[in-house]
Amino acid sequence: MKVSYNWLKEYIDFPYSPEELAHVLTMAGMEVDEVEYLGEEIKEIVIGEILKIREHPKADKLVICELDTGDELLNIVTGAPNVVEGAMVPVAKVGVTLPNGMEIKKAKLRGEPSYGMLCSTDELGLSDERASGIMILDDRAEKGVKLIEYLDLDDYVLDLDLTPNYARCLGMLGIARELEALLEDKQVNYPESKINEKGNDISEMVEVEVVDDDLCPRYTGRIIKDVKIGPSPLWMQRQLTAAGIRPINNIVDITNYVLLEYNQPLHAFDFDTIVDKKIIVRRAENGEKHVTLDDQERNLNHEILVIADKEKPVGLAGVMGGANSEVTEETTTVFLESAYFNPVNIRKTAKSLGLPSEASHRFERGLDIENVIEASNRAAYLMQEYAEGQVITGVVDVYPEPYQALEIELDVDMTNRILGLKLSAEDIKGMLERLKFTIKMNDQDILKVAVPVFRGDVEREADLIEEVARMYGYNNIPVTKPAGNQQGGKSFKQKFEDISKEFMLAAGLDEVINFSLAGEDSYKILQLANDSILRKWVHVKNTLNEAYAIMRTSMVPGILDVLSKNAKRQLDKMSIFELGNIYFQQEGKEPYIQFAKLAGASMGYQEDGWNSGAPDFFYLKGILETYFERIGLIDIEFKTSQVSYLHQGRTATIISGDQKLGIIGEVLTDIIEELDLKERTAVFQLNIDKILDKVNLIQRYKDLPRYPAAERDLAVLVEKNIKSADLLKLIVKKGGELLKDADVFDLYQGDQIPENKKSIAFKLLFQAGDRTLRDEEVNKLFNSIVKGLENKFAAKIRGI
Amino acid sequence: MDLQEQLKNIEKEAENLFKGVDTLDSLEKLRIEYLGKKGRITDVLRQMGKISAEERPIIGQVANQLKTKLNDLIVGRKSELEEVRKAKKLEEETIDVTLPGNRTKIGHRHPLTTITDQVKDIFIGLGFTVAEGPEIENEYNNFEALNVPKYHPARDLQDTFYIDDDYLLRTHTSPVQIRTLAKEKPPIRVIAPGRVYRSDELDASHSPVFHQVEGLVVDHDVSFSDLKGTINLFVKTVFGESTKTRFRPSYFPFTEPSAEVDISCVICEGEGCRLCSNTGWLEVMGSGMVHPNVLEMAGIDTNEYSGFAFGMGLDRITMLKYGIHDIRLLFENDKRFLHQF
Repeated sequence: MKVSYNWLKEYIDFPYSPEELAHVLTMAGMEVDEVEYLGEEIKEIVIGEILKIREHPKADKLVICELDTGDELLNIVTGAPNVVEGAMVPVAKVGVTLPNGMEIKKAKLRGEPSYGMLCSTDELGLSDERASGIMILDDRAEKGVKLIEYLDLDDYVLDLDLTPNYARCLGMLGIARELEALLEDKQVNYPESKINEKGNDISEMVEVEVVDDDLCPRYTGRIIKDVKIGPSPLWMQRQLTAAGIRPINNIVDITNYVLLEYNQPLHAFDFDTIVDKKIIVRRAENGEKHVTLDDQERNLNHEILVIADKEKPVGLAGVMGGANSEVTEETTTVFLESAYFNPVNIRKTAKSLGLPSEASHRFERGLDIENVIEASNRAAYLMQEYAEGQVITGVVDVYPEPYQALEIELDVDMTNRILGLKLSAEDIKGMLERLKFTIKMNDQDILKVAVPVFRGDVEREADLIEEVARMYGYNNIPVTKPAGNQQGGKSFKQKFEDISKEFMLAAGLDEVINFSLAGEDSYKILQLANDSILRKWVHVKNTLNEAYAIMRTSMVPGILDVLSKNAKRQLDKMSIFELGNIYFQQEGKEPYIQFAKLAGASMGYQEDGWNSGAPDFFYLKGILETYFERIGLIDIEFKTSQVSYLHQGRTATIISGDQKLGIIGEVLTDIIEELDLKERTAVFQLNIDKILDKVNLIQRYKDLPRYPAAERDLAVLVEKNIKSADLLKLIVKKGGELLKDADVFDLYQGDQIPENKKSIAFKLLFQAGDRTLRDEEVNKLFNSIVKGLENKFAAKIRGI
Repeated sequence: MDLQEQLKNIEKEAENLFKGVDTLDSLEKLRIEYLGKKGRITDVLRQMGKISAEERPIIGQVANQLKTKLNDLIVGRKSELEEVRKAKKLEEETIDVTLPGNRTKIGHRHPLTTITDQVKDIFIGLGFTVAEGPEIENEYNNFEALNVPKYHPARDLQDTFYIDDDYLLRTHTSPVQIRTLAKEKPPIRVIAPGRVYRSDELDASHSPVFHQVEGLVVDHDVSFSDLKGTINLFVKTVFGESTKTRFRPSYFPFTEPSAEVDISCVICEGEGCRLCSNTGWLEVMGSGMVHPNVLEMAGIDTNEYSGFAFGMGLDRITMLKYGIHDIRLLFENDKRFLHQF
């Protein structure tokens, strides 16, 4: 809602500057987004009188004007063809900047000095079309006066961002009433509506039948005849323009003007277009068609309320008038509609037709049903004054169930408890009365409050408590701490997620946050099989953008996208993780489900531990192994497996018991090329929910060993395809309980050993809890390990 | 030359030589030359047979004294030379301490996580537990149960992504209030941080995906002044002791009275600048007393209990706190951005 400062002042004489007004309204719940000074761009333009016009000695098309700008006489050279002596014109003096950015300087035009510029409407930003001459002002203009005063542009417009409960303030009088409540000594000046009714009663001229009164609780009409269609008065046009409404003609402008004053949408029909002089308010037929004022044909249905005559709809109730009944230059008799329509129905219609309007915006928020006649009278009065109309005697008023004021009981104690105040019944009564609530006090504990009809937003006690808080001033309410001594905290899952994030950060991975909305396109790189579960996306029905059409089913596209974007900026060494959700459809009571995933990636890692050409893979694997150890998962296995977007020889499924916890692998070369990633980039993704089931964060102290350990190194030569984990498994089995630790510490493939073979070296640690182990004992175990490896893997022992 | 004289000469000679020695090796050689089994003192003692029995003990005593003396000299000189050697070694081992250290690689926490954690910690300290709810939410929890019926104009306040006729992407974290009220009995104190969605185009100040935190307190005698106290404390902890808060009437369907919370501008501290559109204030959260309709729908007796709720944008708080001017930076994950935190 755009509110003109000067216009608002006509209704109540408030003592605020525009900025103060903005603050007062904001603090009263009507947030002001912006205060705009209408004359800002032309505030320095003054009115000058052309005293004399002389010919330019050297140029036919130029003349020299002698101007009186009130405080000085100036010579200005102009090429405008329409200057005459005695004319009042807008003058931009030297130093002034025009709205188009042009700065006026002292100049010589073909040798003649010129001290300013005479302006046209387009140069002043008052019209978009190029004007043929300068702007000539009418006889209201006085020399020396600022142009903005002459044009009524010395005004501010406040842009109010009104919440739905402030529907009453969608009209100037509503805002004035709010100010009246805040200002103890000022009253609202209601506008004039002195109608001179003539002729027989309106009921002899028109019949109104409301068929569907559930959708139209009140319908009123007036007839104004002999109207002369023309432009509305300038002051009205300016006020409409300031409010953001385009002036059209006097009749339409008057309906809009009253809409802005009274917050009551009105519609003017050309009465001569109404067949049989009967207005019918009814639901549209399914399939019925109607062309609205914007020349669009609309397909109607039984949910839509129309204003019709015997033959056809003549308008969509509360949304937009019909082209067939529009007021035109030929119109002489106007049927003026002022009604109250069902808010939900109007909202449905405006939504389904995609046709929001000033009228529907107000109807759907609920209007003052008792206000419709007053607004109608005001508009009829203005048509009488500004369209030379003759108002017909009487009003048609179909209002089967008159409004009953709502009465609410307000508990004084409850009010104080909710607000943390100690108000008396009298205090509260005073505040509510200023807001036009009527109080029927019963006793000191309970107030019976009658809600004024324009306060449709007040439905129950809580709404009244808000009014009390508002009048008391939110910022005057004391500040306390809630009582109670509850224990705060996080759930186990939340704590575990914190630990996981903490660990990944400590391990050197940067945390990233990606959108959970994605485009199907971003999954192309994954080369998913047609029946892949990752294709079971949850789709957004009304997406704005294909890139946000689905909910992610994997963290990997997002993770790779981060690396890709960074690599393209030469940031090609990066390791990251993200903890977030993925989403699926499912069978069952809840049709959708989300899972927490922890994903990560490494690109451009430098150290290649096993000289295997997979630095990123082993970097990530090392992090995960340490992570699992940290969270008490001891039976983790990495098993070679296949994933569509990962290198077939460099991918592992991470398994614990019979549960698949996640995957790790190197990204396929063609994806690396497509995304400009650095070669060998690797990713992992873990299923947090499954890990959570196995986590063991309980830590118990074990006695430190009291006897020395015996260390043995063991290097074996085996076939290349034999997995170190399989060797280790056997070593651990054979080593028994005295083998406390066994690790791979070296891997060699190359010239020193036969092709297709590799040498793996293990460090073994033997220790007993109750004695120092003797060499013979250790040797016996060691030999049994060696024999086992020889038998099962045809391993050859290498001397160390 | 008698033996005593010989020993005296040895003494003189050795004293000079020992003092002049400058390596541990030559010192050892001299030790052997004078004190060794075939050394000079032993040579003298071998001539004892030539002298009288009376003289022998005297010579023996002199020789022993000399031995002791030379020995002390050697030990002294040796430790002097050790010191020199150590000093030399330290000298040789001098490094350029201005060379860079071997930096440890640590991960950088996303600023949004840092702020979210801070918010959680503050409220956990005030006795709140952390609640969660699904992002694909049903219409009832997201709207109806929060006192926003279908076709209510308040639905215009939030542009919603729909999944099907009954489900949508939650437009706020408020449905977690409803889930909590359905599960728990008062006293209730929860916060619910999480991801929310609005059908907005991505630009510097809007994002279709963003983050909120919701707070809910329900108990006997919970008042608007308690809400103010809680919010004030939160604001001061996050933005600093000198930050002011301002409450102004607003509208949320699920609270009544409702209040918008402004804080004094973090840049200009109330003077007026571009960030705060010259108002001196920044809007940071919505709040209010839980609407009795909401409590009643959840089966809570409003004569017995009252509550307050609040909600704020974590992305916005993060941006204000760190001076980030474009919300897209939070989701672009540029390494140069991440490494600033």
